Amino acid sequence: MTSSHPFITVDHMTVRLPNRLILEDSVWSIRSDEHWAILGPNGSGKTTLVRSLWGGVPLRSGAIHFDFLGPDSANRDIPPRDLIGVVSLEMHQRLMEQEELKEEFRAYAGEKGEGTTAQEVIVSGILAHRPLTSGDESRVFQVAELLEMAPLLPRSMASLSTGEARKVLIARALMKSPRLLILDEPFEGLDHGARAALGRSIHQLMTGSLRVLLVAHRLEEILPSITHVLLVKDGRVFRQGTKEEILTSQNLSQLYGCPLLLGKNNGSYNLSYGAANDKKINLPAGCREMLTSGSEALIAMKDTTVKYGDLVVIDRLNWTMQQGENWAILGPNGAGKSTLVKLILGENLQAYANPITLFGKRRGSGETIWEIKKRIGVVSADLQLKYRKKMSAREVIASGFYDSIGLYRVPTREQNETVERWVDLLDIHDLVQEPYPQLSFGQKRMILLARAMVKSPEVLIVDEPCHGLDVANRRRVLKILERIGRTETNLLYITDRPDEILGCITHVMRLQKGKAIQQGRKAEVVPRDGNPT
Amino acid sequence: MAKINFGGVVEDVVTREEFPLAQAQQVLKNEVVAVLGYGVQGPGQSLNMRDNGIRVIVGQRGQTPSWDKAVKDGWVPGQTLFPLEEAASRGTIIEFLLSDAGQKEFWPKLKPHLTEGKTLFFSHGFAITYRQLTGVIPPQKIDVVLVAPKGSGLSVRRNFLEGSGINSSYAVFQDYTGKAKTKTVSLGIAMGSGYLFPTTFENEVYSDLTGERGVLMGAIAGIMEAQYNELRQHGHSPSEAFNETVEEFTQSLIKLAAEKGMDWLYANCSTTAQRGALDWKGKFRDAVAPLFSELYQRVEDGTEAKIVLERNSRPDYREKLDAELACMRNSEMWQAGDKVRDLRPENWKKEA
Repeated sequence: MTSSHPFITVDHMTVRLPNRLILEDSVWSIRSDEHWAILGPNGSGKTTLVRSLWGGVPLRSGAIHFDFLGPDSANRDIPPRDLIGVVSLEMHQRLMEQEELKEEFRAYAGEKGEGTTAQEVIVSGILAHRPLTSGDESRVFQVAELLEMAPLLPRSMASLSTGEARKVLIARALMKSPRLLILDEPFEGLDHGARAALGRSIHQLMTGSLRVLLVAHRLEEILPSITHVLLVKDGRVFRQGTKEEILTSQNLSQLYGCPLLLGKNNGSYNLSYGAANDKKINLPAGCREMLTSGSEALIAMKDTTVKYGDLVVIDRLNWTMQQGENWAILGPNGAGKSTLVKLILGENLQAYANPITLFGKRRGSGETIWEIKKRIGVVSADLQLKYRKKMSAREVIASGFYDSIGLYRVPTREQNETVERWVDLLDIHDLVQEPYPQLSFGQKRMILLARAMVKSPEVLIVDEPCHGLDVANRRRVLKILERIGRTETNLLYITDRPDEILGCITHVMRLQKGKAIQQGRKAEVVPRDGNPT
Repeated sequence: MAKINFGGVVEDVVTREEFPLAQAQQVLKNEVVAVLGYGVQGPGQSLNMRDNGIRVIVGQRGQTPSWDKAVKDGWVPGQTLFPLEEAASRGTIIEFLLSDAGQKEFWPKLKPHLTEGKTLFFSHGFAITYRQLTGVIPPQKIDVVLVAPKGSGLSVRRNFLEGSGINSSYAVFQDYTGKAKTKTVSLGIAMGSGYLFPTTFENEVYSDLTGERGVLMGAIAGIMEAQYNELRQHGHSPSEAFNETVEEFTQSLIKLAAEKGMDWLYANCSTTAQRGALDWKGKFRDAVAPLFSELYQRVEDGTEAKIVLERNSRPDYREKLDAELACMRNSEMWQAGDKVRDLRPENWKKEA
């Protein structure tokens, strides 16, 4: 292309993290006609790399030249934050934390008032840099139109689905008319429909002069308009170049350290697992193989309804999970899947207002939530959000014995040994010494899975366990869940991906708008092709 | 009970290790705890007790935001949620969590429901200690007890859910059944206390009222304003005056005192700062000592309580209070603070 010129040049950069150096001596050049995607295993340094571009982490040595500022710019090496838009899972998480906190203050301090609206969040993208001007308001609508989200503007953030909230953050980043838009795992946590809609919006953005940098976990997220790919492995830039050159089965297998096959179809990619040669999974003792299926109802809900004012989240649900059954709950964002999980865990307080029976005991008949928690392990985005403590990852795992957030007791030697066995099994030795808050999103997921399993629970609830996991970890987690599903631990597996329903799943329920639209044996609900009937 | 030495003075402290939840459940198994008032402390305490397997009902005036919140929190009207008086008649342990002024007002309606053997349960010693002012003079054939969590309703709930807990003090004012103390400790454990410190109704309310009027709220805001004004009079900018008066204190220094004490805070500052602070600490102590004496006197003789009851029972007390808070919020010092907070490096709005 004739108009191609340097856009950003990473010049022998080394980044300093609180406890180590990373991305040592990295070199990378982005040109003005390129859109890049960044791929790499959990914790390899993808997020740190993009953070360095907007000045979110300090450089130990080297420089980043922002060539798009022009060759004469005196500030060419200083990240122009007002020209770089960023959307990340961290940011999404923090925003939701703030809203949750506000809601709590409202509830416990007798404060009134509404939560932050989508429009207020979008405008805050400007306020970070300068006061509002008259042009900003029309810009809000312009951006909202572009992302097909205008009806969301007056709504409170707390009422939005994950996919909708993600679009709000992208709109916020676009408010300042950035030259570069960094999207750090924008598709994570979105259902099929929301992923497709967001993909269209991002594709639309890429047709303009804006350059996009996309950090992704799944190959199908590499949009056709991405031109170049950079691979990060073990804290180093591993490969970089044109998409065609970099995306090969060989490169990706090396990147993730397991045999992978790359497929291509109509400009989009997919990845399948190659010949398996990994070690056999031996579950720790305590996870005994299940010999017979019992007849005790583990979870039973009758006409269960959860509502907030006029908003009905779970609508007259009748459902029973028997001992010996592994259930998958299928449904899009906003179907009520996470509310269902919270009802079981006692975290949704309307459990007390419904006829729910857990392990043969009616809720509210004198049992404590600790007796329930003891029998249930859980991995969910919600738990990950709430678990923000300064402690080592190993301590986080051990806190599973007490179902606490934070570790307030000293684990016994036996308990420590159980922790070690799960660390072995999940292959997370490198992670457990680290301070938990410093782990990447996907690494935290692995730690929380170990935390859920150390007590060998009767029911393991995994709410979208693969969100945020790289291909290798996803495969590992699915294999381990497959094995767990054949032990005395019964699985309750929540997902919006019919293609990730495990072999050990015996029953499936499809939820939509709080209603069970279908439930029963897997073969009846989800035929062999994996698509719901 | 564990004997614990606090700087040379030994106190009896109940711990949940020696008084486990199972024991509390046993003690309370035939009781119904009626929590009257679903405002600030009500939600946290009632939800914790319910989650700990205790039979709890809530009493709240109907058609209020608090009633709606109770429904949202899984309390079922007619089953576990009632108007105040009905809840009082159904409960065997009546937890009185209305505001201090509200307690005085509701007392005549509550009293008939305090039949023989019931327990009147407080989180605050106010109504009983100042009973000559409030008229809250309990009948003789009931127990009157108190558990006061050392934190907001929000921390009571949040710490419970995280599996840690909150510390509380407890007291018995009247022991008719002979089991008042065990019941009190059980209630404390059931609501999620980690450690329970013994106190009396009087001491609880005197220390509480002195603390919040003094160092915790009144005195701290006052000396901050005095220093800020002095700096401003000498031409220091609002941001500088605020940073040196409030921001450095709340963002950095006080956390050191929380970690390891005041000498640790001092030790982490320059020797110039240490020298001056050591010299001036005594002067400040002596300067405000007479004020604290006056304060304690007024707390003890009921002057402060009288003001609270009189002012907070006026129909427009909420608006007046809000106006005074707004006045503080809109003062130059706290407006400067608002901007300074925005500019904290960790503030996410600043990110990219």
